[in-house]
Amino acid sequence: MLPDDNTVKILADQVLDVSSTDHPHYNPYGNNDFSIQHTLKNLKIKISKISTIEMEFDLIGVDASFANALRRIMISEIPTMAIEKVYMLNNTVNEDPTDQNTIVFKLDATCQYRKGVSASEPDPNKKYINSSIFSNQLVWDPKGDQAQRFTGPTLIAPVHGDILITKLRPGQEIQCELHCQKGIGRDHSKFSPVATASYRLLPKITILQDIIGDDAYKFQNCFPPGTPKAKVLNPRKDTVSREVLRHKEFKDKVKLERVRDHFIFNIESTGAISPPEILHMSIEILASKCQNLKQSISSLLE
Amino acid sequence: MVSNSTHAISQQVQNDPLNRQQSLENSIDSLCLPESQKDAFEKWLTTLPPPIPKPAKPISSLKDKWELVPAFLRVKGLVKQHIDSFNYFIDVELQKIIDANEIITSKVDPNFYLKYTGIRVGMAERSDSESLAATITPHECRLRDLTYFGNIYVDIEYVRGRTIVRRRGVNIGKLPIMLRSSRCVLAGKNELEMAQMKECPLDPGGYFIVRGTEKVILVQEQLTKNRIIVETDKADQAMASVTSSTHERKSKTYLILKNKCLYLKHNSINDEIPVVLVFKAMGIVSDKEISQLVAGNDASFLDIFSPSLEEVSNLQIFTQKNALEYIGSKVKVSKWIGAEKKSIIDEALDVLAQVVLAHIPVIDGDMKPKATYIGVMARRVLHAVVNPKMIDDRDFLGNKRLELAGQLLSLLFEDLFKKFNFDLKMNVDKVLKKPNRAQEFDVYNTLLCHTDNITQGFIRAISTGNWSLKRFKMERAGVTHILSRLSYIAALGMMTRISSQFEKTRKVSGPRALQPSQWGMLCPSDTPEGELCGLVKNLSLMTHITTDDEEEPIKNLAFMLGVEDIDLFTGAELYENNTCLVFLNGLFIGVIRYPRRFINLFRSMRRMGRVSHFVSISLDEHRQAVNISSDNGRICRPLLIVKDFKVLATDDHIRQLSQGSLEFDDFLHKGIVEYLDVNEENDANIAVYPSDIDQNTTHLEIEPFTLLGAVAGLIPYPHHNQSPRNTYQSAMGKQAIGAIAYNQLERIDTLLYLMVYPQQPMVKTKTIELINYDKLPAGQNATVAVMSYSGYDIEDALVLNKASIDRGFGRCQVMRKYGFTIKKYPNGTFDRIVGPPLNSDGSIPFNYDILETDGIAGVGEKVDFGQIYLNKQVPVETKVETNATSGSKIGDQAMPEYKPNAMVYRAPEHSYIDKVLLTTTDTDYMIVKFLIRQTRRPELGDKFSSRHGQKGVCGIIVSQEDMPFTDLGICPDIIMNPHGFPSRMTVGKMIELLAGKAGTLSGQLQYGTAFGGSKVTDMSKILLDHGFNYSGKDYVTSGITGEPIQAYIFFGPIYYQKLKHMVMDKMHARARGPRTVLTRQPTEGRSRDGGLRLGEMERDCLIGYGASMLLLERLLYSSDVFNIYTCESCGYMGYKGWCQYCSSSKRMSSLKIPYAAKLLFQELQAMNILPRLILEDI
Repeated sequence: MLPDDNTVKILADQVLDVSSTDHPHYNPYGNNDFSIQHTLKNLKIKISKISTIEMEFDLIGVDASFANALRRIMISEIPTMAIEKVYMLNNTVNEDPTDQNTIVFKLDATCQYRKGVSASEPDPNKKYINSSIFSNQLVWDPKGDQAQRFTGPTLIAPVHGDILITKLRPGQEIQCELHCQKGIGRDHSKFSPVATASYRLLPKITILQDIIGDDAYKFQNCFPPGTPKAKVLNPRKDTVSREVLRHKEFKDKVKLERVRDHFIFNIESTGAISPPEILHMSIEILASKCQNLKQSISSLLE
Repeated sequence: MVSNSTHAISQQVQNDPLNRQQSLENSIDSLCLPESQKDAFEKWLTTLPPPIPKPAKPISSLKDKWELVPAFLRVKGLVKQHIDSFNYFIDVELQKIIDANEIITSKVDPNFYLKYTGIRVGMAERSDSESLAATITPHECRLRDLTYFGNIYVDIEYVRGRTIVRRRGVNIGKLPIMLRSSRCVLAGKNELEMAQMKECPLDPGGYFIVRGTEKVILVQEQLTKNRIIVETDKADQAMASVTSSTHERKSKTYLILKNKCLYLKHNSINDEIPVVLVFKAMGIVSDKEISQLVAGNDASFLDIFSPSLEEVSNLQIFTQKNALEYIGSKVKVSKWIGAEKKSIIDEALDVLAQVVLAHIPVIDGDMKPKATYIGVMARRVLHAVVNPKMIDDRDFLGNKRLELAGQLLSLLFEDLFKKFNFDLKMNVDKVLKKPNRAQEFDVYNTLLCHTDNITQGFIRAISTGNWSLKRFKMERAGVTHILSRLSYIAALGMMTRISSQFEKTRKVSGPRALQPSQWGMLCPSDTPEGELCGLVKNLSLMTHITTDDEEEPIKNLAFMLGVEDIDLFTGAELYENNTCLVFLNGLFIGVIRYPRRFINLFRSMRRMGRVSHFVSISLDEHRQAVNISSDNGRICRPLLIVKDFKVLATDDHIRQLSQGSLEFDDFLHKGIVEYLDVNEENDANIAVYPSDIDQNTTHLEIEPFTLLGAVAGLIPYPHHNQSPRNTYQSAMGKQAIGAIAYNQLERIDTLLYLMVYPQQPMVKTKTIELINYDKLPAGQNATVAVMSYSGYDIEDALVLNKASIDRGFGRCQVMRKYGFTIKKYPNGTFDRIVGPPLNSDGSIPFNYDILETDGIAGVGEKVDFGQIYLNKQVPVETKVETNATSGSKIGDQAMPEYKPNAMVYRAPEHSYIDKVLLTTTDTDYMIVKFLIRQTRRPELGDKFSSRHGQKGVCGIIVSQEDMPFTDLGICPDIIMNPHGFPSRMTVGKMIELLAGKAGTLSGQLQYGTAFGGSKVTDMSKILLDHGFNYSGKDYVTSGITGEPIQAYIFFGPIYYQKLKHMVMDKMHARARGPRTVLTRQPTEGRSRDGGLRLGEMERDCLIGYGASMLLLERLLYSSDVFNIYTCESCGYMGYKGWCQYCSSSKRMSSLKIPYAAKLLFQELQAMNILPRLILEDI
């Protein structure tokens, strides 16, 4: 059966009308000619929340495949730098890194007794110097003209300085060179710029019959606070727990749906790249992929 | 008179067996009420007041009574029984053994004697004590391949010349010390001190370290000793048997029923002896007295017993002398030549007094107690004849005893000590025999020479597991096992294991079945599958195994409480209606008129602490007997005492317990908690929950979850699972990779699997906390989506998220030990380690690349296939040159020739050198140990399992963007196919997911404790409160299409274990490779790079299909094809173009046969069978 409107139906035991049909934005009742202009006209992006590491925006008027493509690219195809090779003091080097493809950090730490602390001190942080090695002890060692190239507000450094690398005790030391290389999340998740990037569809709650009396309070309790109040206030806040469908008294009184082309997108950055930039880069990558495809097709047609 | 009357009856019985049956039934019927009276009885019942209703609310809620479990585990339980038993052996039993064998005399010099006056075992000590301090740590023993033992010191008193010399603290040998026992350096140490000794504070102890390996003496299950057991024999006749066990002797006495007569059977007597005859031989001659001892005044018993009386009277034996002569003629004569000749009567008396029923003491030839005992045995048999329900259940746990390390060691020590004394005596005799001695003979020096026998005896027995005791002609193999260190649970599970003496080949199901009496004592889930199923068992959490208690005070107490001594009675009075026989450890000590009152008094004395808490007393109503037991090996467990609807323990007690002002033993002393063994449990009425308490209740279960053992206790919600699933998990929990001990990185084990990021489970159980599984976990909380995905998840395969693996899910390290000794040879040469050789250009060849200048691979180096990690060389000549003249020292000065014997790394995957240890053994050999490490991430085919017996292999690894995600953006770590649920019925797993999800949302750990734990409704409520669906099913979007998935997906964390079976260790294929020397066929097995066998069934397929050429290729060309030349005229195999037999070269032809066939022909020829190869043209 073809979906007659633009929503995904949330039932008690299943989800219906999950897909739009064969090609993007197929509408059985409307104009089925796909036009990029039309799509672009309908496309809206509303940023609702933004911080240095997180961003929520609404992507409205596109097909799931488009939103999903962005999500997938964010997770696995935006390149970042991550530590790839660690050279302990006397290890041999296999491949010559250049200042064009590598950033070098150095770690050099020795653990010592802190003077004037009693031997029975139980806390190793007080008893020793450098008993715990954290990521902020990694020192950037600029190679070539890197020092000139990478100036600016943010110096090259690990995003988080409080990551425990190892623990040492007096007599132990660690000395190594850590080489960062560019890579993408598909090779290893450490290169992924996002902790996760995901989206959900905008919930739509329709109250078909009036709910009054104690039922109204009960109805309210079936949703997260602020979602309904005998009438729908803010469907965005609904977590789709479907609790309302469990209760007999609300049968046929409420309809749960989700808008199929309204994506509430959430990007959680790892901190290396800011969320809007991630979005921007992902769109660019998608565009370049399209270009690639276009070229391939045209070369095929020749 | 008596014999006459019985004669008449037996005649009648023999004439008509049916009639006898009839009369028996009549007699039973007559006991029941007639119909008319029954109605009256029912009417009378209605007039009684209604039963007292249960109190509306239990008086004390005792919500936290589980606090008793950790308190109990601090003093007893799990491995503490091993340690208790070992301590008892050292402190008490050793002294007893010394007392029993205290004096050595000499036949040569009657003045000489050596007497042991005391014995002690010192703390564990190093044997090469010229260095450093004498104390040694277990960890050092493990690393240096030493034995962890302490010295056995004795005090002796002996004659030297004309004086008596006393010496204290003479070392007679060394005893391996059980870890954490009172003689172990770890006893009573705190965590810091443990850490300084590189020992894990969570390690259970209870095992031994012998030559560097950790050895466990498993608990052995045996049938109880010195008790009468009534069984049916092969002919389905009742019989009673008693295994008597004393320090000197072990023997089994049977009382069998044959042709309606009772006979006594014993190994030392050739024939079956009529039991009446035995009575007569024991001095009870009168038939009346005999029949009273057996049947009392009960006519029905007398009827059955009469044939036995009659038989003996037919034999015309009436006096004790006659009877003794009869028995004496059938006694097996000992073939020992040195034995002095005795008269037949003496022989019979000796056998009756000392061999038959040896556990009943015969003092000054008084056989009355023994005769009474035989009377009781006979009565039991008759009882079983009348009422088949009186046949004992061999599998009943009360008829079982568990033998622990202490008892086994004491058997071994007694044997070794006797051997030691015997050798010493022989030596002393030898010396004293010499007429003139240069110096005064001092036995002390001779004694010191023999100490090695005891030490080596212990070491041999423990390291091989062969317990051979010459005294009892006992040979037992497989008593000890290597402690499995696969995971913490594996080690702990091993310490609670019980192995049965039962043969596994026998097809009886009884011993394997779950016995109702196992409740609370043995774990119902934890048993292996397959041939050992039900024979290997595990202790429950709260069981304790008793050690011996002194009998004498108990006996005195019994007499004071009204037991009348057996000596005062004749048979007639013993079996009066209301009297009860009183047995102490199977010994008949007296009778009691009011058994209930006596038992209650006795129990209150025990609760007051006047007798040991582990003494059990119970009434056996069917046999009219009171059994008091204080022997070792009984299984018991603590229970709360209930009196008049009231649990004696109060919330106040429990609060004091959790505050630490009370300990578990205080509960015993206060008489609020007591230990019950299986027999006494039968006499108690135990409520499982406080709400079940009624007027009959005597005890309350401390916590029902303690009926599971340590290993099954890991399972969350086991009471919701199908029972075999819990058994499967109990087996798999031991294979899970995790943390092994706090000292895991200090250890150098042959094979060690460690998980890189182990987590404690989100859903734990009380047991998990009690056994510290949360501190040494073996698994990770994986977010699981129960859905179908990709088709690579059928048949229990799992889909793993690549991003999870990148971030460390399921990552593990495999450490392997490679150890070598640097040997010294008799001719003074020794192995040497040399630095790497150099190429002509001064570089080091590839396979020597990782060696440092000392010839040993550097720590941290990567080792590839074919690389050398120890460049050892051995001398060419190692034997002492026999013809070398003593004067020539040239050989010593010249460098001996060496040949290379380098150690090459031959595993398919590369590794890293983690550690190198250079040390010496106690015999001064240098040993080099390498610890080689591999870090492995999960790959296709690696095995995983949840805690519900649901194992599966990784079927596909999917990148994160292809994984489904929830509204919150959560991707699963594992996708599990829902088909795993319907047939397995592991509902516990679903509840674990729900509780785990609720726990993650609320930031708490949830409990899935058996018969309790967090409730599903509560969990659903938490889910709802956090905006999730109440059933745990989430709305999920597909990562591939980006569209919602039509079904809601059951989504949440489940604790997953990575099992030790990994593809990397199993992967194997070969095209060409080594062949065996004899048959020239490909070798077998992965370790030898062997071929893959095309077996019989595969062969059958090919034959059936008709693929003859393929068959020929597989079985001949690819295996052991061989070209032979045969002579067509004689059929012999010959040379190419020459037949030696025919001396001709005319008719030779070549053909291809398997080398194995050629070999067969030649072997047949060697045994004078000639296979001729007759060839034909086709």
